[in-house]
Amino acid sequence: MKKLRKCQLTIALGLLISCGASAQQLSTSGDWGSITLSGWVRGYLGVNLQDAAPNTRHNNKWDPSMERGSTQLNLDGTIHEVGFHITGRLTGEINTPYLQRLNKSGAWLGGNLAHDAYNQTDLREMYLNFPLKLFGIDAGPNSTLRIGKQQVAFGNTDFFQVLDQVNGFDFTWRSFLVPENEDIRKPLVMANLMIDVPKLHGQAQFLLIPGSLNARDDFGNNYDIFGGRWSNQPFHTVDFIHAGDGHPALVPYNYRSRGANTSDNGYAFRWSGLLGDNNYSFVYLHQHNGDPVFNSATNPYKQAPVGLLGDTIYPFIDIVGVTGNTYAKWADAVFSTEIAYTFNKPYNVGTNPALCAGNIAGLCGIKTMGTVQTVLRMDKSLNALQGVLGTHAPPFFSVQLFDTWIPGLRPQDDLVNLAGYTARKRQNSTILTGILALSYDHDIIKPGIAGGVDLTNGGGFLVPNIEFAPGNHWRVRLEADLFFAANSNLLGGNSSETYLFGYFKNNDQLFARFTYQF
Amino acid sequence: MKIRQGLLATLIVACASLAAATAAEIPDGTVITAANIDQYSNDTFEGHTLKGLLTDRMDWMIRKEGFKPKLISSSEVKLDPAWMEATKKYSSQVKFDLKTRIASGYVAGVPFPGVKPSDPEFAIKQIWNYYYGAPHADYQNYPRFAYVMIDGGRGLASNMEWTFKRYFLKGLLHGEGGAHTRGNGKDLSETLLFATAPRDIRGLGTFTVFHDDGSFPSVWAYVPAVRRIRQLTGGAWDSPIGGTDQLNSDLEIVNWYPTWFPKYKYIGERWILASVHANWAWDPKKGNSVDAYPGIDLKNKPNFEPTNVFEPRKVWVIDAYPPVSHPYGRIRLYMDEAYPRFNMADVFDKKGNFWKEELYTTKSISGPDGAVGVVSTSGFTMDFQQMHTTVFMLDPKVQINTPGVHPDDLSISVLQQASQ
Repeated sequence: MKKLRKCQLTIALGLLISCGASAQQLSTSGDWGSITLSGWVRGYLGVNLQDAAPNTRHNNKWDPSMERGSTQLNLDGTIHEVGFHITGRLTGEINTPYLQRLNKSGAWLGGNLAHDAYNQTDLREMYLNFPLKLFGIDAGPNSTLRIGKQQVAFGNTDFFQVLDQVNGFDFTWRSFLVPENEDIRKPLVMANLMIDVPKLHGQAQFLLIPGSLNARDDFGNNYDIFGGRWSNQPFHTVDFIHAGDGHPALVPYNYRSRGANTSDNGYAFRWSGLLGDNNYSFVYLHQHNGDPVFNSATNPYKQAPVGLLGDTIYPFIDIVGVTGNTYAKWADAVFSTEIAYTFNKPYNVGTNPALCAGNIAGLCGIKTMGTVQTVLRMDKSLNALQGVLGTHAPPFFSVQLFDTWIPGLRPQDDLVNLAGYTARKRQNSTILTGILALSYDHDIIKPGIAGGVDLTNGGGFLVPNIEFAPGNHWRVRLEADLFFAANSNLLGGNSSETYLFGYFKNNDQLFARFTYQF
Repeated sequence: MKIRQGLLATLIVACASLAAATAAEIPDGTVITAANIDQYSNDTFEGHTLKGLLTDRMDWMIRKEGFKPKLISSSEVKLDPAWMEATKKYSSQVKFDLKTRIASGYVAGVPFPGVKPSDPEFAIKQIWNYYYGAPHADYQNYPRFAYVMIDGGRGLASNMEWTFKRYFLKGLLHGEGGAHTRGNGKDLSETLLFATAPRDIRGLGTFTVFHDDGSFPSVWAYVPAVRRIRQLTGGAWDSPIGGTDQLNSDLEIVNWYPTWFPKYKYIGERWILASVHANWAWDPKKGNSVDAYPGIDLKNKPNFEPTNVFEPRKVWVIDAYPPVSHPYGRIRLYMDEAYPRFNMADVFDKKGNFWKEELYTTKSISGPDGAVGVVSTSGFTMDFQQMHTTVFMLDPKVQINTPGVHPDDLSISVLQQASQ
């Protein structure tokens, strides 16, 4: 499948080169339509502020964790009313001494961590947009059929995946810290029908995601469960999914597991509309669960796993949800909400590792439970601070409350919050996040800060950042990624109180990104 | 002593007569510069002395800031006959409420065409004349416009390119079946805007519904980085547009509901130099080079003065006082007497210091249905406190009243689809 992707990308790049790609955004237009070529070249640098992998027997503080280069080309336009979009991306990383130490100590068994985990060749998106009127279908002026590899974002929320589960995300190389999540959302081949209904001030959208037309590993979220730089603490250097160096794969990916077979089709419906000046939408989605779960060898879910201790699988789920947002003049703020009910959200079972496969908590099986997830958000421009802080425009502030509620959860269900930790899943857990964005010198200098706190389990994160945007081409982003673990365990310790931000203990980073765009 | 005073008086009168006798007509096509402004100061152009045509700000811009207006003979601005007919037919139906300061009963054309300076509400009625009656056509289709940002002294800093579509929902002159209103009758216009360059804003789009009841506009943005539509706060009407020097309220100089400003004051009428038969200021075919912007003097400091043709125009001068929340203290507006458009404005900060000069160059264009609209070929917001300027530049491929366009073509769902 990787070979097929490389082949597709070669073809796409060949097309782009023949169009005359250069350092400037190129476009051409005429009565037939228009075509534009654009893109960027990026360099990334990550530096450890702490030592997250003491088991490499080296102090990794101040070592570069990431030296990455990437280039992306976009070709889009319209030809005789048919729109098209192609995005391809090439990424490579230097095998830094830190990555080499992780690799030598067990990360990405049987392979090269930098080359196999982080180098990527992607045909990201490639789709055609057909206005329905071309087929003689009179279905509203903006009704279209989009076919091909694409991203579709449901829901209102960026940081949390509530309804945003059509596509999975690649969290392996930078965890959740990429602000432009279109860069890490994993596009899928699908048919996307959008029908405008102007009389009802809305739009109906239907998705069909044929499993057999997609690469199996294009489904679901990918996390660093191979012992790399973004592994959860204390599992740096522990590879759960690969075999190698005489070790079998502990819980390899299984894309053919019953109830989680990536050859099966996903589908969705969304109605979005305007009621007065208020947006709303209704969603139904049948798709793979975003986060993987482990199918235990000692207590299989629907089908026996192939891995030594189990399999990593993405079971299908069914979600219904609503979103809404409104501008409140009294607060001069926009309030948004997203509420979703997942009928059959899968969780891992087993807070007592002695009873589970491999003595790993959570590998005692899978249980599905009805789950309610709610997000409330407020976006506001802080006009009063403009003069105080001397910003070019009023600072932007956003605060978001995210709650997960499992109404039927009882202690005897014995769910873990995350496999690998004995911490028990709580019936209700709430996270609060916020962003403050400033701008100076006509948006050339943009400092900001993002942060979050786990109100239920403790811990949080803080990301102070600054972006420089001089002119049309160069962009530089600097940030510090700081994690505060209220409770966390090191290897061999007690993980009964280790929750989300505990997974990031000792993983503070400095980060820089340099972009030349055209 | 008496003899000397008499002789002095005779000499003064003789000198004045001599000066009057020798005041010349400035030739058509003369470019006024710092070097010749004094030479031409008392000379006339179409019967007006040059110094009488220059506002204080324009005089200062010529002397100190490199502004070089080229004089051309004035001519009538072409306007839509349907606009003039609608004014005659419907203006008598418009009422003005002294308490609320709101105009009601508007149908089409100019609401208060005959308002006289002696009317105590003259100033705000002229703002209503612009709000409803500006001769902009029913539908504006700008396939490309640019915001060019210039740092005085360093030159061209950056530019953004956008497409723009605005459908007016009231005051239609060529509406289907002769209708003058579309939709629910509560909104003035719908605007779809999306960015095409540079790369990091490509695909960013906004959809704005401007309500005709004094409430803040409803605004939604499509953010391609997260592939989502976000609703924005309506209270941003007096905030900067991105990194530009222009506030949302600065668009076309006046972009607000008339009653949002608590006070207007009529100052008087006068003649000024304005660019109403402007040359196109942007040649997109020349890419990003200095030559692509013939409407901006990018070669001479401060690198952002307009270069275009200017002619004498008679204007109403109105001072507009924004609400306390607005960054500006006072805006001196120069409104063309022949039709409701603002040629320029002097902006002062809350301490009364001069801050920005807003200057628009315009021309009339025709639509396929015979409509005529006045469009801005360029719009300058010159911040003289920060020595930084944003210039709106319009691609000559602009259209008005494009056939086959329906208001439903502009909607939120278009944001996501159009912003690829």
